[in-house]
Amino acid sequence: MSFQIIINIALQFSIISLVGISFFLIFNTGKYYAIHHSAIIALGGYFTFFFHRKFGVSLPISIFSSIIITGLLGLFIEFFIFKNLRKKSSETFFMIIASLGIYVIMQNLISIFWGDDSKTIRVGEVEVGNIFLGAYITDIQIVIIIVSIILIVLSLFFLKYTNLGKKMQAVSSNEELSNIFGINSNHVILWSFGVGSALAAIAGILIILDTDMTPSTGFKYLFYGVVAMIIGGVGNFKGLIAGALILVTAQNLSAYYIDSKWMDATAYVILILFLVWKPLGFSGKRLRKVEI
Amino acid sequence: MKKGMIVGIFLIAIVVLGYFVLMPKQSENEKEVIKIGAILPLSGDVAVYGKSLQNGMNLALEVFREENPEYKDILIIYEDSKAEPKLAVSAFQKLSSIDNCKIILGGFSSSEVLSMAPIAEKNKVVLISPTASSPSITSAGDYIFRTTPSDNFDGEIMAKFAYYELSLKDVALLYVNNDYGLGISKVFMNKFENYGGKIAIQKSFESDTKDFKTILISIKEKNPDGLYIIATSELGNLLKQKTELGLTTKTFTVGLVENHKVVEVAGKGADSVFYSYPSFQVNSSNNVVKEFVSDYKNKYGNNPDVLGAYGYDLVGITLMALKDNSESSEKIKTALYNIIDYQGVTGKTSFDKNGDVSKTAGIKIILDGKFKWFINNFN
Repeated sequence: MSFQIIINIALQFSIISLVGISFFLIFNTGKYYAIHHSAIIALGGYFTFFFHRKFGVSLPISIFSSIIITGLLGLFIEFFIFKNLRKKSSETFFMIIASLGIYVIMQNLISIFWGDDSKTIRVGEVEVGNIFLGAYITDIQIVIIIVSIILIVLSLFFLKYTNLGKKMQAVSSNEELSNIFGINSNHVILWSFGVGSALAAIAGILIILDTDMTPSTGFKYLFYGVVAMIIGGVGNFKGLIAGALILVTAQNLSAYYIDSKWMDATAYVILILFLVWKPLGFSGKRLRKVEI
Repeated sequence: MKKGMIVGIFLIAIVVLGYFVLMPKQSENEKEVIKIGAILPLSGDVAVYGKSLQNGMNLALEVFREENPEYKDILIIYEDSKAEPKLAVSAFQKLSSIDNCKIILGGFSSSEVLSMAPIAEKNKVVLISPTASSPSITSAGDYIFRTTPSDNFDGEIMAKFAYYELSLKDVALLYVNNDYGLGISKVFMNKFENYGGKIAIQKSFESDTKDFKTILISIKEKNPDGLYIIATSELGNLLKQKTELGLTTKTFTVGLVENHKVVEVAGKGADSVFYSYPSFQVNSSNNVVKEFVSDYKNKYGNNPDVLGAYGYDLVGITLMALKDNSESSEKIKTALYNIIDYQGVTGKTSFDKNGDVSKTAGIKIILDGKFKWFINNFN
């Protein structure tokens, strides 16, 4: 057991909580498990790869345009497909199936365009990382942790203090009532998809910069993000962060003491334990909801 | 109008029927022709490999025809499988029932071979694959052969190399948790412990894992002499993270690492990694190889790769078995089992009772992103 484990936990925690938050934003207002969000994560990485490697665009511009395009894509999918489904007051179940379908289509499109092999964007040579208290950490990993922490804090402020963030919370807590109070819920949902997808794109870019990306990579990360959200209590932002920390710590300890193949199993065990004994997350607080 | 159409259809039907009735007569006239079927990926993702094999196969046939003028009617019928089992099966059915091939070469991937194997057994058609390496093909049937060693062979060769050449006594094992990884790691462990070595620690991971940092640390803390990595698509990432964590132990892995994409991901992490590879060398001093390389260069304008060599040997072996036994597939099968040390360009080939081969393999090393031979012939 060494300090290195804590670094690993910090690194995974930053990416998974970032993915979790991006999903939190769209789930809070959209109210369904958007499986296609995992393809959005992957696309963030793939677009950056595409602009940077195929067209030789400089990395910052590639990253910026990838975030914009992926954000818009998430917004369009919501606008053209799920808005209509919602209008016809489809049940959440149908929305999930539709989302699964879109995920399969998007994943296959990625496969066709970029192939199934792993893609990576290399910044500098692969070499021994910086030594920090006896542990190794590479430059890009430091960037990941810093960027994620900044984005987590910004999202918290965004939800709490901005006009749009407050509207999102209002729609999340009661859509009909917020409509009565003059908030256009469709508009707010669209925005949350845009912001959520852009955050997902950033997560995807950080993943492709540190490790690599295959068409199915996004799904694994989204799964961890969703588990973190459920552990923390659905709709609870701070709970999500704590949930991500618990999940990642448990996974790394099981990889260290037992085997890496148990990492996914650990996630499932934690998920099931929480669903059975603490379905509202470890804080156990029921969300206050104003009923009409 | 309607009447005219019916008459038209009727006429077409007669023409088509007549064509099919006359067809068998034609092929009876061509009774002398010996047909060999071949199923290769000639389009799609792995078409490059299929083309290399095809080049080598055509060259071998040409050489054989020149040397044996009485067999000038022998021919290979190619079918494209795109490396998809479904297409391979329909190609197999076409070749065995319409073209009446008694021997079919191919199945590029293991899954193609495994899906064709039951039909080959039932119809008594000999199937030889040049490239399918899954251990489960060993027990796929009596009529199923391959000229490439089973994956398990990698484990054997590496155990020997690690213990005797690198003098490692204490090795960590890191493998992907599927048939491929489990198969090789089991063989490696058995052999290595038999020689007197010790497995310091073994860790496995699910395929498509991205983060290996924590298991790599637990390996680093055991401080082993060497590290054997059995992985597929994860190789690049694993080697990269290993380097970033400052794990400098001697590393050896499977032949899949010889892929520019892996090295692109791993960067410097791939440096001085050893791996086993089928031994075929373009600039070998062996006369058989020299002749093959110059013939190949004359015909296609470039040097042959490993697959070209495998295609060449595959047809060489096939023709040797087929020479006097072309009338029944049973005889061809027996002739194949009776081949002892066929001297080809990829080394000596003889089939064991399961239709498997053990081939001479070599050890290669990656230096500055380039794949170099370390030991040419290691057995």
